[in-house]
Amino acid sequence: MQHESGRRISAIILALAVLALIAVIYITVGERDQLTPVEYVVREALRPLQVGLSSITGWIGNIGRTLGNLSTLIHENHALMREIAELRAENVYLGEQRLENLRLRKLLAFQDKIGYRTLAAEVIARGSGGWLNTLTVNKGACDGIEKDMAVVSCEGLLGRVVSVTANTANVLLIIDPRSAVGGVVQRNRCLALVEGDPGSPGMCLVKCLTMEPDLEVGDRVLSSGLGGIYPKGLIIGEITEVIPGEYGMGSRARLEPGADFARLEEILIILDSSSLPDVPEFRREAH
Amino acid sequence: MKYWILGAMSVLIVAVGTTVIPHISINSIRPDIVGSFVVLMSMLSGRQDGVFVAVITGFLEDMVSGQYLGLYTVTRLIIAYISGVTYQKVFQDWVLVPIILVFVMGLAGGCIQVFLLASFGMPFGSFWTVLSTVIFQAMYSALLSPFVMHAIHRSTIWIRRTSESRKSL
Repeated sequence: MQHESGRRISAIILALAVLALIAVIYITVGERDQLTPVEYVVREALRPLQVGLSSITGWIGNIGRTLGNLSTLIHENHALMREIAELRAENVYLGEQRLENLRLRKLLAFQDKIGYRTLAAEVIARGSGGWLNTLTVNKGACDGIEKDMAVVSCEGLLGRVVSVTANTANVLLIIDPRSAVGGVVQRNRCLALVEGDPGSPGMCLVKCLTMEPDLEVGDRVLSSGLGGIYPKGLIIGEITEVIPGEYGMGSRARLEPGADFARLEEILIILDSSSLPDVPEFRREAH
Repeated sequence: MKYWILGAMSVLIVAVGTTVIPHISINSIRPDIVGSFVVLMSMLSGRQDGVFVAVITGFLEDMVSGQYLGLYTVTRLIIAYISGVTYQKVFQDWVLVPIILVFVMGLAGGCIQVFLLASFGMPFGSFWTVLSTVIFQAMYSALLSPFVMHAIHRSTIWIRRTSESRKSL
């Protein structure tokens, strides 16, 4: 009985509280100019807790979003890496094109200067093993290339064509010990024979053909035109070392070729050296 | 001691409800985690404790919202009082019990809020829009109720142990 009355009292209290609260709602329906002190204090008191929870939630949300986007990010990363690799390759290719352009421009200028009818060719292979100083170029009999045609570059004489197929030609370089070029020392017009130096790869040996040899370090040696293969006046190289002969007179010398054989990429093949006996322009350049 | 802890839990749940819960809203509808807390507290600890947390949480929510003061207190108070009927009368360990209770009380609480707000001139959309929102919110709250129940259960065990150890001292 007592329990029943207690329940009734609590129900009445609840009903009164609800009515009172509805009255409060009614009073606070409209927009108010300012908050009550209680509202103000409660909000300020809850603020640190809300700020802390918001920060934690934001942090967890960020991690969740990152994890959610992980597979997209991985795909994106792979795609970007691929794109970077492609762009790098393209960049290298464009750089190569630019350098080739510069080389070809130089070669073209040289072609104009040299005065002979020439044909530009690209080096497609080199003698393997380092013992055979030969080059293979991408022009052959179909392009008018014949055996014993002289091969030059902007830096000087390179060698001669030794064999030809329809679309390729093999060039024996002047640094090969099998090669011999008739030369002339520019300073004293002393005739010499320039051969590949078997003792020093990449160098040539100058053998003076006159009775009174006079070779000095720094002497520039040009092609003499004798022998009918190489035109006269092409730079062969510069003497770097005089090898003393009998009575202390220098009859032999070591010569560093003008051309850099290791980096050759484009060359010029002289098609008709016999028609023009001299290369005045080029010789002037050599001076 | 017990009421201090219940008060602290109420403060925490209101803070979570106003900061964390908005992040898990679906189509702008968020679960009423405070309502779930009040209902489950009534079911697990009885009407007295339920009404206590209802007053605390409702008051805090009213203070935070700044409008229609008393709306949340009334709603929480009513659902806490009704939920108190289930105290020691339902098999609490069955997972569907809190889900069903929170869903039903969520519907009731939502309807009370809509009724009161509409009575005081708050404009609403169509009846079906309001009803679907109330139902969806009640469902969402019900789905989360096992987690809330677990948290309350752990807390009540802790409160009981703490009270017992203080008494023995």
